Amino acid sequence: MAFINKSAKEIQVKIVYYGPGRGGKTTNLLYVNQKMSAKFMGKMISIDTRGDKTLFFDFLPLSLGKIRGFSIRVQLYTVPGQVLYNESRKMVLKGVDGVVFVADSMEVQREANVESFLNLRDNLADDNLDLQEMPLVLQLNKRDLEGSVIPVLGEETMRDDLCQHLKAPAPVMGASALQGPGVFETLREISKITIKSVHYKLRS
Amino acid sequence: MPSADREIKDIFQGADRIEILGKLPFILWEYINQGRRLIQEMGSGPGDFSSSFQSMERMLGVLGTAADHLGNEELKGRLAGHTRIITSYRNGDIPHGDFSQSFSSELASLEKVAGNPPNVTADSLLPEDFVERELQRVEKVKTGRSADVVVSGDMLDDIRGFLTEKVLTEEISSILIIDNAGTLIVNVGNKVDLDAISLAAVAAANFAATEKIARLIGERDFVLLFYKGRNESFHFRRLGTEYIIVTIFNNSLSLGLIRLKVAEVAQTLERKLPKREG
Repeated sequence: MAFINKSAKEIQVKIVYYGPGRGGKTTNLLYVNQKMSAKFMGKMISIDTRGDKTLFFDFLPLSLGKIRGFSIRVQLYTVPGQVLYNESRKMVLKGVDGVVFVADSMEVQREANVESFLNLRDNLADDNLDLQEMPLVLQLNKRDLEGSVIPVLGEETMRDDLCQHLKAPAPVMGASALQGPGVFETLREISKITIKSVHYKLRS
Repeated sequence: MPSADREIKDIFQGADRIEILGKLPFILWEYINQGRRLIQEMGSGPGDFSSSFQSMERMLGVLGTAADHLGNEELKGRLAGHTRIITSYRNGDIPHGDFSQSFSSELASLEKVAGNPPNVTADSLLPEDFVERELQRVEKVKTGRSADVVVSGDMLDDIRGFLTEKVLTEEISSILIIDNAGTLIVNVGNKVDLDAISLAAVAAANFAATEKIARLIGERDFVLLFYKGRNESFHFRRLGTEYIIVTIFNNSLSLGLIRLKVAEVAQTLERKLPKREG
């Protein structure tokens, strides 16, 4: 649920990075935090354990300029990916405006990707939100492992695995959160479609 | 140990494995590069190379385990060849010159199965001590210590007995001891419909979140949290730096009394609970 402040001319949207554990959601945010100019960015807050798993969420507020006189503030959240933390995931998902699904390209994670995607659908449904109508970008992370000793899933396979649960295909981005390619492209795409959808909802 | 505890541990170990597999190409290439450097140094004259060998043997151990998880027989075979040649050189079975030559060809054959070298640019997020950190992590998984805290059944029985005897009363329906990461360590009490595993995860997350709030206002953390419900209330208190004790009690018991009770047993519990390793 976007927050629109007409007197301050400000739109605030919440974007959540979702996906299986150890897939690189936090790394996405870290990369943005490290490479983006500090003047467009607030402080990143990470609630994690000592083993650097996300325990509750990471949070990074950004301002992305102005559209029609409204300044756009985006809040990026990640969820804990481990199966155990479903309740925490549900809490973070509350009032979400857009989702980046960070899928892990490693072959061993194929099932985990689909499981997490269906978990996203169920958790959204619990909050009366429909995955089919949610602004969504699928990020295929760890593409840098392609051509290494680690078996990696093909982009087509991953796309098919996830998109078969969608009525209309979502934009797909290859990425390597550790190295950088695809991180800002994903952020740009999800911001664009989220703001478009907020704008559309406003008009209707 | 109850099965629920074991289940949680397995989830974490699985996650660690995924992480290690993702980093395997980096470690593999670091090994190859270090091997090349070693041959170069050896070519420029005699010296003490034992620390280089030690670090390479360590990497070999880790790579072997990772190749095992991966089920990559070819890689496993090549790595075994490396272990053999290094061991026999260090035992003095092969002379200096022969070693350089055959090790160099072993490295070349390993390179063939290693795939593309990782493209590390200035933009990458890798910290400087990356390989060392990853090695430590993998070694922990290898020895089955990835969970950091190891609890024995006796220890749990002891704590359970202590809590039942000294703390549990009619007004207290449940006591949970959890760690910072939301792992349920002990659960005693009679609240049958309690989803203790979820509660532990959310409670730890909540505690961590309030710790961030504390930092934002300049405190280190809040040592005590209390939530009052219509019928039942929650009391959270830190036990040492690693654990949190959660008490669920009905409202006929006063908050002051529960605080006193928990404070009384906190020190004993701290002593009884396992220490984090490493």
